[in-house]
Amino acid sequence: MEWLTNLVGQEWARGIGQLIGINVGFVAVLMIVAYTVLAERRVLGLIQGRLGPNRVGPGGIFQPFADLLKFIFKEEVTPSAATRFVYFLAPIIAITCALMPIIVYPFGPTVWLPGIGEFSLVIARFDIALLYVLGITSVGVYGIALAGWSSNNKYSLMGGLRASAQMISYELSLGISLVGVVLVSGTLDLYSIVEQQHGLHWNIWDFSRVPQFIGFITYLISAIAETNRVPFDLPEAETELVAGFHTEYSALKFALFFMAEYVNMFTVSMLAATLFLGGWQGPFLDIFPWLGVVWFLLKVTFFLFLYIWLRGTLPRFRFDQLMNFGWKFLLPVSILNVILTATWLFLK
Amino acid sequence: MIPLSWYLALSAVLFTIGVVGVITKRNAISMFMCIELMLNAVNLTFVAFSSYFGDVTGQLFVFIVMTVAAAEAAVGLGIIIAIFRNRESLNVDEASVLRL
Amino acid sequence: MYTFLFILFGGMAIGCAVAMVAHRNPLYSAISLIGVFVSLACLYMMLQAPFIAAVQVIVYAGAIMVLVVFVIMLLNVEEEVRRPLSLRYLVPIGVGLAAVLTAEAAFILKLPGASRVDMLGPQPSDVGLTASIGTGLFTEYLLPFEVTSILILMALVGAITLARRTTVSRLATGADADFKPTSPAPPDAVIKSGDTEATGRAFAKLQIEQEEAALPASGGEEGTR
Repeated sequence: MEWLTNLVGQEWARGIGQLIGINVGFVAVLMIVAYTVLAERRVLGLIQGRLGPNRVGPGGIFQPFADLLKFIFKEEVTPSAATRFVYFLAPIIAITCALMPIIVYPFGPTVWLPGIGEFSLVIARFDIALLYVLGITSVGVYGIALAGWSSNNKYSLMGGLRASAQMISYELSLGISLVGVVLVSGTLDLYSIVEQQHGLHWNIWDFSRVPQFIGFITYLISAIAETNRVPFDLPEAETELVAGFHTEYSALKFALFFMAEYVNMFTVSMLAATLFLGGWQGPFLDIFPWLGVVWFLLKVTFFLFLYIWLRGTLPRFRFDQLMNFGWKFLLPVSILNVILTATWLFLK
Repeated sequence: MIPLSWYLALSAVLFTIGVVGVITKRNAISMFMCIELMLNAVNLTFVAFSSYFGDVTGQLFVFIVMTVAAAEAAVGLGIIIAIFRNRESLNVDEASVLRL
Repeated sequence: MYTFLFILFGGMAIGCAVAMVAHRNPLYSAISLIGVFVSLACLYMMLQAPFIAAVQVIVYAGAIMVLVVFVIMLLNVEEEVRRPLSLRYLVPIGVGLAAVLTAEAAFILKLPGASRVDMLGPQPSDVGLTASIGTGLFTEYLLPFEVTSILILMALVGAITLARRTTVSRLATGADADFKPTSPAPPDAVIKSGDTEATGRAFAKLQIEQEEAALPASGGEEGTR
């Protein structure tokens, strides 16, 4: 953006560029999340042998807007004995911590637009991008724990505590599964990790470096547990705990929790696509750089479909089975992956 | 740009607030949290010095202090839970003798 | 710009710290402490130490405080009662001494020999990047690193030992603060120390037998419709 730099100085030009990028990214992610909700209902319907919502617009395309209007106009019911400040704070924490990792998503390679010049399709490149995402996910646990506690309802409290305990247990194997990728790539910056997986040398099956399929499997299972999805969704299952930690939330606050869950799903799918499946890498990339965005979205959509598929197919774990699995099986397997990767790298 | 003394002053103020908390509070968990605040104030001093003098030793020490704080949190909260199970109260004034 | 950011984050840190000490409800203190940790992480970012900032958020705000919040929720810790101050004359003495200490500190900072602390701005270097911290941690400071890992192992073993319930003693006394057993304490033949599952089963069987013996000849309850 040469003309902008000459106009307002370099710092301001970069700031304005990033602000525009944040807005575009925010809108794009929210649109994708809204249509993920619709896709979930349609695909679940197809798996269960029925049609999902298909009335609003051709094939139900405008259903997310109908849902949004419903959430806005619903009556807000606040329990009288709830702790007011914390009750209002919890969905804010949840949605903020879900949306903050958007700035490190690597949507595509360096592209060129007339009037703007060359720029890479990532909002912020910094040295610790992966740790940033892990840290924000750790803080997101508070949204659920505080929501469960402040509702003054024993089902909410149990659901909130169980969900938080599950999330912090699976955060460990999530992080350690990613250590293998970091060892192979030598950097924590997501954009550089994608750049190193050129062509079809993706981290999951690249034998010229160390292939990470064990890490991929453990990451995927930890990610599903981290986002409280089936088969790990006991804390919010309708048959068990009414609705878990968001029992007492209605209308817009519930919509914030709902959106936060789906944005979290998008974040972990993005990490899986970026770290293990090569992000925006794919064939024909040097001819059309913009094709990178298409490959990225295809891979993320594959993981979102996998989530919905699992929801339609698997029964859920009991809570002690869940914790057993996380601590006694998944954590040792991810540590084993790190040891194997480190040994392989050392012997090269 | 910011002179180093500002960071040191901020760290001293945070440390003092932590000390006031430890002396004033009677709840075991609140005292524990004020101790964590004191540890963080010292961490800020370490990082400020490391950054202004270009030496990585300060940040490595912060890393180790954080690890020690995490270990202390785990064991300390275990002790607090054990005390609560026996005495049904977290008031440290009442826990001043060994018998229940 | 940097001054504004420093005043913003520093003010937030001090504000949250004062809120933490002033609140009587421990959960609000915990939330304020999380605010302190996040503002300190932002200050570390300003000091060009991004790795330490990320580790601060992950370890302190994301792990230690989650533990503290869990304990507060599980133990249902109550608010502190406001006690009357017993030694009121100490407050003005304390304020006076604090003023004396601040004056001493300001005097020391203004001495000519202390010019080094007036350095403006952190040196633009890559000391804070992950690579340099990793290099230092695994070459020059390898021994503290390994000792820290043994420390964490000790803490792990200690925490598990402290948190373990000894099921045998609860069954033997048969009394608990909020649990009223409907049957007397089981005879010693039922309790096998160490095998809690078998003991539990045997005790449950004993309890069912005693309850069935205590019931009058009912059994028509379920049959009548």
